[in-house]
Amino acid sequence: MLAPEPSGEQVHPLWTDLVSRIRVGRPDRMSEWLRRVPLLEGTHRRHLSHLARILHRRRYEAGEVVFRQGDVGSGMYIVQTGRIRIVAEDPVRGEIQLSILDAGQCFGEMSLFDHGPRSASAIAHEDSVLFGLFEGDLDQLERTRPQAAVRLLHNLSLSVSLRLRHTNERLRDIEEGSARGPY
Amino acid sequence: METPIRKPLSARGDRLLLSFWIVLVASISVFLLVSAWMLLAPLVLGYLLAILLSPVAEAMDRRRVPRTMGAFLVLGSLATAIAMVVVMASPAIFHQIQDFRDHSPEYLRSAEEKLSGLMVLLGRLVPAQELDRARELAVRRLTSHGSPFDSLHDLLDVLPLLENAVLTLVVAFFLLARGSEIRRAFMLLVPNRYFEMMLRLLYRVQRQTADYLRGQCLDSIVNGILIAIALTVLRVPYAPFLGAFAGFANAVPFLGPLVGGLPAIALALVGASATPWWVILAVLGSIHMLDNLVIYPATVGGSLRLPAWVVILGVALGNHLGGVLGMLVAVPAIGLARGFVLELHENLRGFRIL
Repeated sequence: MLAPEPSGEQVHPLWTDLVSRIRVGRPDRMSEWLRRVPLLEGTHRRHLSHLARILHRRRYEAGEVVFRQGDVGSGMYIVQTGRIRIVAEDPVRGEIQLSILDAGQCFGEMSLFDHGPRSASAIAHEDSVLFGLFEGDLDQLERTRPQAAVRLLHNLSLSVSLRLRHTNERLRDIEEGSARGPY
Repeated sequence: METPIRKPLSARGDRLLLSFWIVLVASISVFLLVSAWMLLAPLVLGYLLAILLSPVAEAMDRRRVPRTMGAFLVLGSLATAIAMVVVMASPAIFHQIQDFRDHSPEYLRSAEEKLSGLMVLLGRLVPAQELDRARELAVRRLTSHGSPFDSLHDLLDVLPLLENAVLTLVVAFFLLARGSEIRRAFMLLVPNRYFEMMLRLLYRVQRQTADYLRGQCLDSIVNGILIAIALTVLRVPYAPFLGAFAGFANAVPFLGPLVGGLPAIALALVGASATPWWVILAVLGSIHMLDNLVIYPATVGGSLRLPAWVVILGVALGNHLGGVLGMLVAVPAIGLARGFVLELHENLRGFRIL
């Protein structure tokens, strides 16, 4: 679990950028934090500060829904602070908790590729701050920092393939009748 | 005999709802355009200019040129290029205008001879006095000499256009330099529930706009150059102007290619060109075919599929609101509004708000 980023001045960037031109220095601190995110491993420091300017920072209160299963998705999230509960909604069994994600972990990355419906719901387990990366941001990254985009996609494909491998193993376990409890 | 398949009620309901959305958004857009055209024009044009030039600014960004510097360089180069073209080409332009004015009585006489049958018919329908007055007016317009500005009043009429041009450049500069931050800052105002939907909607509409705009510009430039070359080879006078006009007109689907080719054919009909009018018509038709089959699909694709009646109505409305510029902007604006509504509808359904 990663340490949360120290909180900066709470000035809306609309005014900091257009009127007062006050630099809160957040992108630098953000890039320092992003450097420790497993998904961004191997990304050049310079590219991280660029990425920090692209990512969307969102706050969620405990119990607030980030996205619902079946919603159209267009991007992924990285947990900066707090914890996020991933649940599958089953019409018969109700909500099935799949996992709880801590700081530094990411979710929703499948929708970044296929823009399809979300396969599970994400709900803030406690007050959380998330970084969002969406199809438009990835598109912009590909055009302006192609090396960073390649690195990110490489890490994402590694993460997705690891999850696929894990799912295959679980499926095999279930078929063999030796499921090891809830996911 | 097969029974026709009835559409399910929900599908028909969807179509009805979608039509309602399209009518609502189109009405609001028209109302806003009519009531605040002068205010909105620089914003819309600045946004479109920024979209058009953003690949160049992004290419500079990739080479580590800061965005503000990149935006300044891109817009500065564009303004300099336009100024240079105007300064260098203006003697040739004025010479061509002068030449056209010198020859215009001759063209008019020739046109009258060729259209004598029509004039007889018109003489029966319209009083002779009115017909003479219209003829005098046409001759005066075509043969007027001197400065393009007849009075200080005419010169002052141009000032709002210059103001709009400067404002357009300022808007484009801010969007090129800080567009990403401005968009991100505005997204912070959107509640979490609608944030992802809004982001997706804005991105897709912007991508559609960018694809169409860049494709259409490329298509118009290629068309204009091809027509200018063809008319030069056919020895039609004023070929570069006619090519430029045809290129601009090409931005309006259906009507554009027709209107763009008319001046060249009219010149041939009044004897300004040695080439027969039907040869010019055949060549322009071939270029149009080439555009339809090869150039347009490669540059624009099928991003704007509008029925002909919508195009005609849009052009008429555009002309009423903003003259020639309004005519050029109307059809893309309608197409983009349609794309926005379709995308909005899909998003609202995808996020289960509808």
